[in-house]
Amino acid sequence: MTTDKKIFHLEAKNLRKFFSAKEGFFGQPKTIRALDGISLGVERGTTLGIVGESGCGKTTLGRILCLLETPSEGKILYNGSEVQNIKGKKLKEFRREVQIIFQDPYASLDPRMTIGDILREPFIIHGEWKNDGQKRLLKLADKCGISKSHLSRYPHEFSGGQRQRVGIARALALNPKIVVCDEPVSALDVSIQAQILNLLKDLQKELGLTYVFISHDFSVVRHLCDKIAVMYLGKIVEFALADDIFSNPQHPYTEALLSAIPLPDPEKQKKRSRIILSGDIPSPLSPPTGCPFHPRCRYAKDSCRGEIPVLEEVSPEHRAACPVLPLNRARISP
Amino acid sequence: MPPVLSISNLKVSFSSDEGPIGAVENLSYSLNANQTLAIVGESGSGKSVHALSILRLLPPSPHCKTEGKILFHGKNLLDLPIKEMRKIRGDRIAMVFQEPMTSLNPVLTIGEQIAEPLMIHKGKSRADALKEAAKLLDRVGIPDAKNRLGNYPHQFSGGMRQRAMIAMALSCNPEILIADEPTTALDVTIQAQILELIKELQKEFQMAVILITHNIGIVADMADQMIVMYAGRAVEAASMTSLFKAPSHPYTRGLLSAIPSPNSKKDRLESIPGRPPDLKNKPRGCPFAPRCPEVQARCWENDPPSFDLGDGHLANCWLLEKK
Repeated sequence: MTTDKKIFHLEAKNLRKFFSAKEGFFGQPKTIRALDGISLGVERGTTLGIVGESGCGKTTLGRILCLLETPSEGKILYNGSEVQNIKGKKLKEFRREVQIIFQDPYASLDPRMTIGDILREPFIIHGEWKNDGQKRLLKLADKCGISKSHLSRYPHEFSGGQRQRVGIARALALNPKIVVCDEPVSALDVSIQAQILNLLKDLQKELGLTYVFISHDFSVVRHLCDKIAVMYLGKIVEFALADDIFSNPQHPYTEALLSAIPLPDPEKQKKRSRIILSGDIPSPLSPPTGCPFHPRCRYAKDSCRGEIPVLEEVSPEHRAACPVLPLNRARISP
Repeated sequence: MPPVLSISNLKVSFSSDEGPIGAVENLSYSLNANQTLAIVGESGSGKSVHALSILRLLPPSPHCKTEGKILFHGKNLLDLPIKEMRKIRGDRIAMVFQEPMTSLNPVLTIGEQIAEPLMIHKGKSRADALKEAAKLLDRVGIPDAKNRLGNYPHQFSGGMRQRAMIAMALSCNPEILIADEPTTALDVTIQAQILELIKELQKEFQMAVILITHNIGIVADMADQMIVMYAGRAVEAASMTSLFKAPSHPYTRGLLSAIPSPNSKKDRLESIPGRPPDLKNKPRGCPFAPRCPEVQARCWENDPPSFDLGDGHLANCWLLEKK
């Protein structure tokens, strides 16, 4: 089974997205490379995690995968056929099958529509309300844990967790095949987070959904994802099966992200040595030369400043873009 | 050594059309210098309101009633005239707010905002205060601090803004630092940086720290004492080690097991079903009863008192009565 022949449910090939920004009114426009050569795919019925800090381009990637934005370069393949340029009827059909759950449950629901209106809208847009819309809506609400009496209320009457349930129900209304989840739990309390994650998992099992799950928090991703891509400054720096990423990270950035996860146990937490990254993610307006991670990397060598490392296979299904870390490891633990 | 801060029977209630809302009920604790107290609870548990009540930042009397005692070095803050209170606020007790985006003034430079408390409380001249501000900004880890003084908040990233907030809070060398969800809006990597910074600064300045959060995980290696709040009251209070070794209230156990662990892949996360109760009409018995997996008949009738489990470990749950 080679990767070339496999047909992914949704695939990105060498995706690039540029934005232009001006500094000051008379400034020269500069190009921001929000995505710089992203290639990845997600198989049917599985979950792909995309992890990275704010500003790494993960949300842009999610939006492009649902065609909410168009890529500057590259292809998006849905069931093996190119979709990045589709329009009209075909796009409407695509939207029906590929849905998104947004990050902020406070900003992504129209405050002037009742929960019922919000959930009714997708059925009306796609002309399915007249048949059995009402019945399907009630079933959907029930599945997502929204009670019937809530349908006549407005979003402001609900807590964050309840609103996120509405966001999930809205995305699932028309039985999509793929759902892009953009940080669906980062605005929620831990106890509510667990409820929503479990709900997403149950729905996947029941409906056979494919998820693209975007998050900055590794511990959340672990529970859902089969494969994980780690992004840094518009590039994928590591891409592997979830278990491999956790047990054997091959990029210093992944290593640092993993070590930043707080452990809910004071004794373990005190014992382990944490790698604390200094500074923020660099500005994509003026990215560092060479490896984008080298200014924050503890293994950085002179060679990292010069060449931009490419994703290379470490083991089957495990690719990483760091030539230095594996060498270092070998030296430390022979 | 007497405690720096000692709170007894603190009660905060807001008035509303549908009757009073009890945001905080009978909260008591004391805090020593150089100690860290973590206050953990879900949104709406009263943890932030309690912090605001210490600084007396809540709306005035007809809208909001604060009862009980908040003793700061033996003086009840609730009885202080507003002029006296202003001298303490920002000088001896400082606060870092949750949202670094909204809690900084967007039309003042970072430098001016950090210098302001120095000019007000320490009587420094503008030039001196700005010099001091540069030092503080450097201390909290902002590169090129001197040139950053003239920046506006929107030119800072979330992590940098939170650092600036911390610099501002530390400017007058406070005895107590209250950090209200200081890392909730931040990425995991930046969260680790900020917590590490607070820990370092505590050692350096010998402050007492009150850390408010909804995630028990992040305070595991930071705090000495912890209070778990639910529906406005403390349901469990203990030293950190004792609490993690033997979490005694079902709610605490639920919170602990809801944290996704990076080390094990469970099929399902444990979650606490339901939501916190409506504070306007709290259930009669134990407020946690409707969500409690171990609920008994009496829990619906009577509110459990707090039981002492030894070593200052307190928990409010009927299950603990016999022990």
